[in-house]
Formats: sequence, structure tokens, C-alpha cells
Amino acid sequence: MWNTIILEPMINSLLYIYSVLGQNFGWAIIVFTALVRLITLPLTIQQMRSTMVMQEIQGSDRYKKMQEKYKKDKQKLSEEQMKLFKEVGYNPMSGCVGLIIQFPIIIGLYQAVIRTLAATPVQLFDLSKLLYPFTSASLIPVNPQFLWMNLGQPERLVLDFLPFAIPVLTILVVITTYLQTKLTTPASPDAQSQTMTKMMGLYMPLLLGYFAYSLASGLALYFFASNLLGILQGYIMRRIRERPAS
Amino acid sequence: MIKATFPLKKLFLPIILGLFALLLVGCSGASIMAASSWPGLTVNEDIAYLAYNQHVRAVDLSSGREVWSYPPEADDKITFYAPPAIGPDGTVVIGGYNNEVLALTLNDSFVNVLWSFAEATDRIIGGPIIVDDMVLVPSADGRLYALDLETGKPVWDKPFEAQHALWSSPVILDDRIYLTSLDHHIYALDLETGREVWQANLSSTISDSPSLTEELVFAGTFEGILFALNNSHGEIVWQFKADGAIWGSPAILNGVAFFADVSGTAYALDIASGKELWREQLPGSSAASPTILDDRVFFISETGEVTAFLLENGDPVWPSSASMEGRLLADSIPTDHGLLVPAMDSECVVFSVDPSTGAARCIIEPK
Repeated sequence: MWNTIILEPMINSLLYIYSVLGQNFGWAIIVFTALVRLITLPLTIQQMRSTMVMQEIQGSDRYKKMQEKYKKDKQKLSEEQMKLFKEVGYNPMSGCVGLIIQFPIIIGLYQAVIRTLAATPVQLFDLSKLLYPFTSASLIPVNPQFLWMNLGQPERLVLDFLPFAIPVLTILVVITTYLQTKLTTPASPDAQSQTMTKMMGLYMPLLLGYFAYSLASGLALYFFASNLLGILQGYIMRRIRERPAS
Repeated sequence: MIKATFPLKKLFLPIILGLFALLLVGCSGASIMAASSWPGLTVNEDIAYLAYNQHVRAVDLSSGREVWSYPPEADDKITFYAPPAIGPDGTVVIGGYNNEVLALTLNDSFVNVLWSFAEATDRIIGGPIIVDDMVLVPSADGRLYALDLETGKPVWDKPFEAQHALWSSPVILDDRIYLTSLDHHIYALDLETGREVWQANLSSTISDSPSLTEELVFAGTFEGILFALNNSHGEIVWQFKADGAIWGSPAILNGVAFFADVSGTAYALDIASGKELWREQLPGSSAASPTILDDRVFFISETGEVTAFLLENGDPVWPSSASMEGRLLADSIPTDHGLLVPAMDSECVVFSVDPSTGAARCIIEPK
């Protein structure tokens, strides 16, 4: 079911884009990531709106007073919070729904990239079973070369004048993940949320940086492209939010 | 009441991210912990040589005893999947996913490395073969290396170079090497020099070795076409469209080619005309080449079954397919101890199937 609904459409779309773009798998990953981002844009907007509304609530006097008044009675605090959410028409689950729907898409996108690269016999055999009849088998195996990278191998830039190789993509993934986390999770007045944001800003770049360093660079390219688009989305959303209402 | 001071809240996020990481990597087909390929098996004089994961092992098929294992201690960075090649003096040539080729000899129960060759720049996936005093090693870097069996030194001026990876063993007929590549081509090379005699573009990836007769060379493609080419010049004599992608090379006997495809269909074709003689449905996809033994042909299904048909008309030999645990993707080998069937993702690495009854038992367990 996972293969039929998520993986097969993604792999065959990726291969279609690859064929249209002159069999350049690097550009295929970037364009495919952009398309998936575009398709899931309503979910992202919903999730970001939800975060903003929550932040506005957390910044309100009523919410702060409530926190102070019931700081020793968690049960009562929870009840009052829910009452407030209901009054302002905020559904605490609305942000999660978008995130939950996006989760399998992110996993599927990662798997589609890795499986289409098919660096081992088992992966190539499995790929042969995931192709639609109209997908040309002559596209297989995909050309893994993109710029200085072999997209099926971890990326390192070797320069003649340096005694060591530089993991350029890993560095870019760490920086862009940090920037994206900063942009898409604006400062919250709530102390607990602040701690979570701080930790997210620390752990997420490290985790994705580790993946980018140790796994196929096709995946790192996807992270980088996805982060850049996320930063762009976050910037636009922030500008819209800051624009004075006419 | 003692209040817990352990910062559980602080650990919440790392735990969630860790789970996400596990899901991202672990649930994919590209798990970094899983075997990257199926076991490579070779049998020589009652000894099975098995390359799988971090070891190459020699197992006495009569006693089931492990004769030796290399390396003595597993190394996470070195894995072996290419079927080993055995020289006339018992030298075992193995290729690893660390790009290295090793020649091993056995002295007083100790495995010695006779030589090593480390010039390949990508993994050794297809099995090396030994021709007289020369070893031919296909590499995923697209080159075919010819090495001296005694010294490991290159024999040709330069290795033959295809446009993409070589994942299958070359095949020899007279003074020619026949070789397939992921670059969609089949090549005929001069055995002495490694120079190209002819090449043919089959428009789609060829994963397994070609099969040969005195006049024809056969190769199945990812596009699901079995090609028969003239082996002197490489012209296409006929082609046959199967239902699915073809992975395993055809088995040929008495003018008939037997093969199966990824859709799980087994075929028998007349090799003179390419005309279909019979076809039968298998329980699952097939990646392995069929094996012919006496009057029957054995097909391996990925889903864990071995199915036997009569060569003549495709009638099933057993009431039902022999069933085993795991994924069966590698070729089977007929021996005095039954048909040996390598398995991956299984509690057993090699099964033995009785060709008469289809009864299966585990003959080599994982290390």
C-alpha cells in the first residue's frame, strides 16, 4: 500500500522529470522537491498560520494571567487554556494535522530519491518492480553525476591544494537547516516553547548534517533544496504577516 | 514523595528526532544496516565458498563444517557479495565492496593473502572469473581488470572500460570475453589484449552475464526483451518481448533457452527462431538464472519458492513449489548435496533442495 500510494508515483514522477531535464538527476531532485513543496504548500501555510495564532494567544494578557493564576493547578490551567482556544476559534490539532500529513511525504521523497539512484543490485531489482509500464526502462540506471558529486555516494569536494576533502553539501545543509528553523519558528513568549525552539534549532541542523555527511549526496541535495525553498516560504510568510492590514 | 529532577522534557525533542531519523533511514529500502546484495556462492569439489556480508566462508558440504572464514574478525567497512573464483591450485579470488580484490590461499588451516589489488575505484559486485593463469575482475567503476593469478599484477596494457558499472561476471568462449554493462551494451573483447571486438547497444540495462552457444549470445534487459545476437559480429538475430524486466541470464540446453522475468513468468524459447515453446507462472518475481538438471528446469522466485518444470513441455514436477524463508535472488547451483539455493533476509544463508521431491533444508547457517 505504501509503495502504491506514495513510492511508485514519486519514483515514476522523478524519472519523468529526469527524462524531461535531459537526464540530469541533480536537477530532477531539485525540481521534484520544489513540486512536492508546491503541492504541500496549503498544509505548510496551515501549519504556519496555526503557529502564529498560538503565538498571538501566548502573548495575550489573558493567557499570561492564566499561567500565573493556575501555575500550581495544571488540571485547571489546561481547562482554562482549552476554554480560551475555543473562544478564539483555535484548534490545537490544526498545526499537527498538516505536519502529520507531510511526514509520510518527506519519508516517501527520501525513499524515492534513494531507490531511484539504486546503487546496489537489490535496490535496482526492487526499482524494476516499482516502474509504471509507461516509464521507459532505458532511463535506468540514472546518471548519478551532478557537478562534482556522485549522487549515490556521500559528497566530498577534493581540491588539489588542500590535504583534506571538504563536505560542502553537509555544511550547506547545516546552515540552511538552522536558518529555516529560525525563520519558520518565530520567537515565542512562552518559556517552554522557547526552550523547544532553541533545542530544535540545535538538534535539527546536527541531525540533518549527519545524514548529509554519511548518506548518499542525492539525499543531501534534497535536504539543501528543501531547506532553501523552506527559507523562501518562511520569508514570504513573514512578510505577509508583517504587512500592515489595509 | 521524591520529585524526579531528570530533565525528561529536554530529552523529548532529541527522542522525537531520533525516532524520525530511524524511520527515515530504517524504513527505506536503503537501510544502512541491511545487506546490500544477495549471497555470492561458488562450489568447487564439495566445498561451498560463500561471500555474504562481512565474511567469505568455505564450508565442507559433506560435514557442514566451516573450513575457514575471512577475515578472521568482521570489519564494518568491508563486505563481500561477489561469488568467489577458485583457481586450479585452490587459490580463492574474492572482490569486496571496499573496491579491493584479494587472492587467498590456505596453509595449515590459516588463510593467507597471496596478493591484493586496490586500483578499482568502485565496488566489486560481479564475480571474478579465472581463465588459465589470468583473473578477470568486473568492477562497478566500469572497468574490467585482467590480473595475473599468481601475482595480482595487471596483464593488459590498460583495463577495458565501459561507460557505466559492470555488475556481472564476464563469460568466455574460445578467445573472446563477452561482457554486459549497466550502460545498455554487450561487449565482445579479445581475451589476450582486452581490446573491444564489437559492441551492441540493447537500449536498456543488462544486469546479469550473457549466455552463450557456439553461434549466439543471449542477454535479457530491464525493458523485458531477450536478445539473441550473432556472437561473431554482434548483430541482433531475434528478440523476444517478455511481460516484465529480465534480470537473470537464460539457461540453454538442446536448442532451448529458459528464463524468467520480474513479473514472475517462466519462458522456454526455441533459440533458432526465438519462438515461444511454453510459459508458466511462478509464485513471485524472479531475478535468478534458472538451473537445468537432467530433464527438468528449476526457477527461483524472490518470494522464497523453487519451482521445477519438465524441460520438454513445462509441466510441473512437484505438486507445489518448494518453499523457503527469506528472499531468493541469487542463482542456484546443482551439487551432489541437492540444489543449493542462497537466501537473504533469512535465518539460513544456503538451502539445499532435493531435485526429486522439492524437500528443502538449511545447509549453511549465517555466521
